[in-house]
Parts: sequence; C-alpha cells; structure tokens
Amino acid sequence: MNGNNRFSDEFLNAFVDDQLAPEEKSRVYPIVSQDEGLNQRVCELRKMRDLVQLAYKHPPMPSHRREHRTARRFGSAVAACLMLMIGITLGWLLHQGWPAVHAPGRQPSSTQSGLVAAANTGEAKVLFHLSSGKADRMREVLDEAEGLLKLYHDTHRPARVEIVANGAGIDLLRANVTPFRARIAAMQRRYPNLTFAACQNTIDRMREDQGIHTHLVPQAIIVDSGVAQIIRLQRQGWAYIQV
Amino acid sequence: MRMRLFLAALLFSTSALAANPAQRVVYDVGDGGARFARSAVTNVENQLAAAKGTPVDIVMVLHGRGVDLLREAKEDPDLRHRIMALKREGVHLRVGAGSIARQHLDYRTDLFDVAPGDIVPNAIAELVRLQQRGFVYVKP
Repeated sequence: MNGNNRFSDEFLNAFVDDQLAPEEKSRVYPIVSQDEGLNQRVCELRKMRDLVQLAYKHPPMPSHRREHRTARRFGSAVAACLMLMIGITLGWLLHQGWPAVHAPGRQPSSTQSGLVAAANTGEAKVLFHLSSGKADRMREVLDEAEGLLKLYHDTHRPARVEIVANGAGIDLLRANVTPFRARIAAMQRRYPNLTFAACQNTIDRMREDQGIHTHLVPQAIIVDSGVAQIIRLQRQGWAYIQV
Repeated sequence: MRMRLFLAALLFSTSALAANPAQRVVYDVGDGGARFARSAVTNVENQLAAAKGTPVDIVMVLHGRGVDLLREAKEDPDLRHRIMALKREGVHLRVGAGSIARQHLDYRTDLFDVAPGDIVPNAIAELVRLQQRGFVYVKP
C-alpha cells in the first residue's frame, strides 16, 4: 500500500493515459514495476480505462427496455434526449473541426479520449514497432521516425513518437550490440518528444533462455510488454507503423 | 443507470453522425520489391471480394521499395489491369515523394498512372494522417 501514496491518482491517471512527458514516464516505469501495490493500482486504472472505452464501443442496447416504461424512466429518457442533443451538437462541432479526407468522413473511435485530445490539440502521436534485428530494418525505423519528427518540427506540429522494440528488434536498444548507439543518442538530444521503449518480456526471455543480461542504451525506457504497450497506445489514439 | 443512459446517448449521437459505414483501410506498401507489392494488390482484391458491395474506402500508400509495384506495372499488362480494376472500385494509390526522389524516378515516365495529386510529401505522415481519421492500418 505504501506505493499508492507516492503518486496522486491524477498523476497515475496521467501515466495510464500516457499524458506524461517522456522523462517523467521513464522515471515512473521502474518505480511502478518494482512496487507491487503500485503496479496493481496501475493495472486497475488501465482496466477501468479499457472498460470505459469498451463501453463506448459496445453500447448497451436499450430498445427492449422501452416496453415497461415508468414515470421515473420517462424522466431518465428526457435526460437522455437532452444528452443526445448535447452529444449531437458536440459531435458536430468536433466533426466540423476535422478536415475532410475523401468524403466528410466518420470517426469510428472519436469517442476515445486519446483521439479527441489528439484532434483538439492537433498533436500527432506515432508508434513504430520494430521486431526485426536486421540492420537495414533498424536503419529504416530510425530513418522513418527521424523524417517524421523533422517534418512535424518544421511544420510546428506538436508530436510524440515512440519506437517500441521487442523480440529480435530489441538489439536496436542493446548498448553493446546496436550499430546505431551514437545516432540514437543524437536523435534523443535533438527530439525530446521521442521515446525508445524496450520490452521487459523480451529481456526476461533472453536471460532465461540464453543467459544474456541485457544492457540498454541510456535513452531506452522499459515497458512491461511490447505488445501490451502497442495495444495501449493504439487505444489511446496513437497511429501505428510496422517496420 | 444515468451514466449508462448518458453513454448510450453519447454513442448514439456519434453513430448517427456516421452516415457512411464504409470500411476504411490504409495499406502500408513499403516492402521489398515487386513480388511483395503484388501480394498487397492481392490483399486488397481479397478485401474487396469479402466486402461484397459494402462501401469501402481503401488507400494504398506506396513508399520505399513498394514503389516497385508501379514500375512493374509499366511492363506488365496484367498488373496494369488489376490496378485499374482496383481504382475503378474506389481504391486510391498514394506515392511518397521522398521515395520517388531517392530512386531518381520520373513519375510521368517511370511509374504507371500517377497523377500529381497522388504524390504525398511524406508517406509515413500520410499513414499517420489516415489512421487519425479512422482508417485501420494493414501492413501486407
């Protein structure tokens, strides 16, 4: 329980919703992973957030309940209608704010908080997934991330980019293995909005299967699971690029 | 109860706005050589067949070696027909400007049926932009 007091609920929520700055995030990850109570609290918050997002995706269908309507339910229905009108207005306003693609398009996941936030602030959030240990793939992910960061920087667009490395891809972030140690350091210096994330599961598996103790470059943070991180970020409205 | 009604109302209002229930998919075609690019064409054909007339909104973003698809099509009439058929079904092709420049290509002479409007400044940024507009990302 002691860990629960170290961070406020607001702070943990920001962590779960990935609203923290990269340096804050990398400070929290190791603390959370070492503190069971805190880890549990974060898990609960994530579960709650996922449930809320699922509720948006699969709404309870109220149609068959209309048969036995009572006065009290009528009141609720009026409230719901009011909310509906507010919702339509809100949706329409947000909708108007988005530039059209081909046709005035729909936003299937526009109810997800992350995407709404991204659309409102114009912030681009992009996740690159590297699972290959081949040098040309490593170069490709760095090239693509750097090109994108430069573009957003030059066009004054706020952006966050995260490279998630798992499986053989973790070699990109292994201090004594990666051919791109200096480049990673230079990119991190130039772009504080870039995060390098290594998968804890991969690190554990390499230790257990091959007895390899992984030393990461100082720019890398550790995430519990690369796959879980990819799912989390996508649910928060991050775009996904597989390399 | 009130919360659930609120969620339902909010959802209904957003789905009411979604008048166009098209399947929106963006294909990331950036991989090694014409054979892989061809398999991307097959993937899209299969998706169209599975959609069975449901409206689709499909964009194929070609970059890196993925551009080979349109170089091959210059030489291969069968591939040209398949690409034309996809376009008739409403599939859009986009080509990264950087890939064209790095490979020293002239889109008018080296690539099949590319208009200036099909060229995007940055292919990755286009993949991001479309995903932010609700397109599902597929890497063939």
